[in-house]
Amino acid sequence: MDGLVIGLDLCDAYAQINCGGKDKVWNLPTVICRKKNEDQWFAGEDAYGANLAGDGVIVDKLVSFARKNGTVAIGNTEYSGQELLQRFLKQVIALPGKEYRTERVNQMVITLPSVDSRTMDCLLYCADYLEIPRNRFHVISHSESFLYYVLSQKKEVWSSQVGLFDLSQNGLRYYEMKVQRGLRQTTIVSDYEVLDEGMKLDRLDSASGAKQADKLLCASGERLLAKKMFSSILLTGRGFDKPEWASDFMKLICRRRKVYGESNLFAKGAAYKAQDYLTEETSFPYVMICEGRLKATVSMEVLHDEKPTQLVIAASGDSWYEAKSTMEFILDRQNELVFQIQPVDSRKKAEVRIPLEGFPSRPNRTTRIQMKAGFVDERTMAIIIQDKGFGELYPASDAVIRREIAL
Amino acid sequence: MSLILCRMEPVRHPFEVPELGVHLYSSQELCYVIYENPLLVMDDFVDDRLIQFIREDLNMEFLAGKLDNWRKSGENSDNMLLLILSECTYYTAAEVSKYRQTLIQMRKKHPAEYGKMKADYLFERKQYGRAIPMYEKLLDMSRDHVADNRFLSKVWCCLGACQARMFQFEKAYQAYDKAFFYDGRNEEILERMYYLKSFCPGLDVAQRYQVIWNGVKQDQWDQRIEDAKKNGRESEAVKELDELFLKDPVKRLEGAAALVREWKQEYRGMV
Repeated sequence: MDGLVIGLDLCDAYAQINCGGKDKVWNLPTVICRKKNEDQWFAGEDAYGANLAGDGVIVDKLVSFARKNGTVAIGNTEYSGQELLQRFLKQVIALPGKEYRTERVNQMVITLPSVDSRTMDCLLYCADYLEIPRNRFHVISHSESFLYYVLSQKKEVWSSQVGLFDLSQNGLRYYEMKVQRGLRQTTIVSDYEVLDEGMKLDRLDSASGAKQADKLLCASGERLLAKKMFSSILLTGRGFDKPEWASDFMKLICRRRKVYGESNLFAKGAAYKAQDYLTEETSFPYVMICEGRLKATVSMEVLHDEKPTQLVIAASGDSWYEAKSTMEFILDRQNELVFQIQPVDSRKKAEVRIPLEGFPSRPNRTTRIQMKAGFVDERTMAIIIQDKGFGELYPASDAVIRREIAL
Repeated sequence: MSLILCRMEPVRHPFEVPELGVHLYSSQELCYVIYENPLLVMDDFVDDRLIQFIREDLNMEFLAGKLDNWRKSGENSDNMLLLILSECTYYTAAEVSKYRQTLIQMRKKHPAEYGKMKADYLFERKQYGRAIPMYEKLLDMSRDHVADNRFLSKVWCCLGACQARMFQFEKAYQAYDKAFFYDGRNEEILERMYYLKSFCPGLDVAQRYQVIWNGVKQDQWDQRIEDAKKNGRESEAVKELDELFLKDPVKRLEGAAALVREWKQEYRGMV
C-alpha cells in the first residue's frame, strides 16, 4: 500500500475507520485515557479497560470537548480538548497503519454529524499535529459521506430518491438524497432531519422501549416516505445492527422498496471520497448540495482580455471551508465591488455592492486591489479588500475593508 | 466601469526606471509607464534588461521571445512598444491605437523639435543631469528653418535653467548670456538673469545687463521674488518640516532620516 486512504466517521460516541478499497472497519468509542502516573495513552475499548483497572483517567465526548475548548487535569498536567483529540486521532490512525504496515497518510477524510467552523479549525490543527498536509486532509458532513456512499453503489440504487435512517448514539436522523438531472450537469441534493436527538440505544433493550421506538419510527417513516418514489432505503447505525425490534417499521419500509443495511455507511462514504482524491478525474462529476457545501454561486463581472466575463469566486456545491481564493483587480472607473449571488434553488440573482470607502483617489486604472474571499460557514462569505496601490508609482495605502456577505 | 482581473506575476527583480525614480512590479505598471511617457520610451527602452524582466519576472515568455526576435531583426522600436501594450491588455485596443497615433505624430516632428521635446520631458521630471547633454547636442545641429536663432536661444535658456537648478549659477549665467545673444529682445531671459543675481548676489554679471535691468520692470520682478519667498515659507513642505521638529526626538530622527533619504534620491535623479 502506497499510503493510507482513510475515511473516518468521528462522533462524540464512536469513531469508525475504513480505508479506501478495503473491507475492514475499526469501530471504537471516542474516549481516551491516560495512566495516572505515566505518560501512556489508550484509546477506545483499551481506554475503558485501563480506566476499569483503576490506573487511568478517562475523557469521553472528545469532539465536543475540543470544540468547547475544554481542559482537563490528568496527574499534574493540564490537557486541552484539542490536545486530547489529537492524541486520540493519532491512536486511531495507528490502527490501519499497523494493519497495512504504513504510517504515511495519502488522503484522509473525516466525516462529522454536523460541520461547524470551530470543529473544523480543531481538526485542521489536528492535521498539523499528525503532520498530514492540509491538501490531504478533508472534513465533510455525514450528509456528504451519505452521497458518496450511495453514488458509489450501482446506479439502480439511486435511480430515484434515496432515504437513509440513521439510529446511533447520536440519536435518530433521516437523510434524503435527490438526483436532479439537467442538460449540462447533474445535481445531487441531500438534506437531513433530526427525528429524535435524545433517543438512547439502551431504550431498545427493554420490550416497551423497543415498541415505543418502533412506533416513533413508523410515524416518521409514514410521514417522510409518503408520496415519494424511492429507489432504495438505507439503514445505518448501531440501532439497526439487529433490526428485529422494529418489525412494524421494517414492514413499512420494505413495502415496494429495496432496503439495504450498512453499519459503517458514513466511514465508507468518507473513504470513497478519500479515494476519489487520488484519481485525476473525479468519479463523481456532479454538483453536490448538502451540509458543508455552498448552496449558491458567488461571482463578479470582470474584464478579461477586454471582454466582460463572469468570474466565479465560489460555486454552489463547493466545500465552504475549502473555497478560499485570493485575486487582484485594477479598478477601471469603478469604486465598488459588485457580487452576484445565484442560489441553486432559485432563478433570482441577488446583488451585493461593497463601496470602496476610504480608498485613496488616484488616476483611473492606477489602483490595484487584492480581494481575499473565504467562508465563515456555508451561508456567510467573508471578504477582505485591500488597497495595493500601483507599485512605486502610486504607493499602497493602509485602506482595508472587511465584510461578511450573507448568501 | 469595470474591474480588470490581474494575472499573477511573481516579480522578484523589479524593473528600474531611473528617469522616473521608480521600480516596476507588474505588467500593468510597465504599460502605464510606456503609455504615459512616450518620450521616455521611444528610443532604446526595449533592451535586454526589459526583455529579461518580461521573460523571467512577468513570466511572459511568448512576448519576450517575440520582442527578442524583433529586436535582433531591427524592427521599429515603436512596434515593440505597441506589442507590449497589446499583449498585456491593460489598455484597450482603441487606446493602443491612439497611442500609435501619438508615436506617429512625434516621429513626424523635426529632429530638433523632437530632441528638445525629449530634453524638456527630462527637465520636467527634474532629470537635469540627463537633460543637459541632450540640450547640448541640439546646439551642435546644423541650422535650418527650425533650428534658427530663436530656437537656439530657447535651448540655451533651458540649459541655463538646468544649471541654475543644479546650483551651478556661474554656468547658468553664461547660458542665459548666450540665450540673450541669440534673442536680444527676449525680456524673459533678462528676468531670469535678474533672479539669478538676486539669488546669488556674488555672481559676476556684465555691466550691460545691470544697465538694462534699471530700464525695465525691476519693481515687478522684486515683487515676484518676494511673493516666491512668501510662498516658500508657507509651503506644505516647510510646514511638514516644522511639524517634524515639534515631534519627540525618536520620531523627529526617523522623520528626518526619511526626508534626507528622499532628498538624496531626488538629488541623485537631478544630477
